[in-house]
Amino acid sequence: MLKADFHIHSCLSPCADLMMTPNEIGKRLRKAQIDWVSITDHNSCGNVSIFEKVLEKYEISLLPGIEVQTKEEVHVLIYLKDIETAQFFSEEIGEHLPKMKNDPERFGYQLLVNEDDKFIGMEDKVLSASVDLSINELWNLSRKYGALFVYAHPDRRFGIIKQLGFIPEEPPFDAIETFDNAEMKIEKAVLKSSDAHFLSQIEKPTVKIKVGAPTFEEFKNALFTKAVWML
Amino acid sequence: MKISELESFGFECLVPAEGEVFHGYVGDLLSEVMAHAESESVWLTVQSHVNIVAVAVVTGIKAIILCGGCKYDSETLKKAKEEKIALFRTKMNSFKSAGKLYQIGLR
Repeated sequence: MLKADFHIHSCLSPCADLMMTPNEIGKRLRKAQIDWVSITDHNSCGNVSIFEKVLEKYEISLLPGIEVQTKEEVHVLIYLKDIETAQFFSEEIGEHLPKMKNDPERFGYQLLVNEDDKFIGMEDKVLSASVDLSINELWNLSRKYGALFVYAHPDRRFGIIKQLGFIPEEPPFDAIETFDNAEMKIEKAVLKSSDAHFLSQIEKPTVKIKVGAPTFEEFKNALFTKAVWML
Repeated sequence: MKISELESFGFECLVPAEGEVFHGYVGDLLSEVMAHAESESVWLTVQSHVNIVAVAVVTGIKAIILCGGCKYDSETLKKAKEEKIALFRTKMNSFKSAGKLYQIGLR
């Protein structure tokens, strides 16, 4: 059984704090006794590889992920099997973003970091925008990469229920984050996450997950067998 | 106003339907439209996801106009035919479309 949080932002996300760097997050995760984490920045996996490297020092495993904003302005978490696949996926997502340069003063800084928490570059594309893919098109793309498709914060801003009224029959998503609607029956695994944009939001693990090892295959299996519990 | 009359005001009809509309609503956030749109309305939006048809059925919206040159998903067209919700589209943005409909008497 591992303690985890599968939705945390780094300083690459325009809306996240500049302190969301690998060592700072690593220390916080350690203190919070989180063993397994996913860094899910908006529309990019640009910091995922460096986080994997740094978090290893803190004995924390990383599940590669990204939070994509579809054409309908719905946030979907895509979890990928390894760093390389995540980078290819991220590049393809980048091609679907508007051809517009980010204005950091207006939309927020999108910072790439190194293993010493130093900023080594800025992402030029506007990561706070929507890609020109519909939910169904994004689902097809996620299938092409063998990835998992999870609706983020369904009833909050940019959530599937908030944007589209209710969860559409298609596509068949793999899991969903928690939300408040006692009447709605969900047949899929429900994940609780911090969606942390600030260090102070990383306080404790959000889920317990039954896996033999922190691998993508085991994560997938745990979702499909609903071997995930909220904390 | 008869739904079919909308065509004569420059809204291109893709899925026709019988009936009349008396009100209008503008919005792209479906949960908000569900909460506030009146029945027997025409709804202006740029949201083309198939769920717009279900929202129309739930609220009693009779016709949808997709504004700003946006395109419907094929599934949305199919669903609208099944549910007998009229679908229109226009290159005009939502603001101008609403102004036009207000001018011709929808309230």
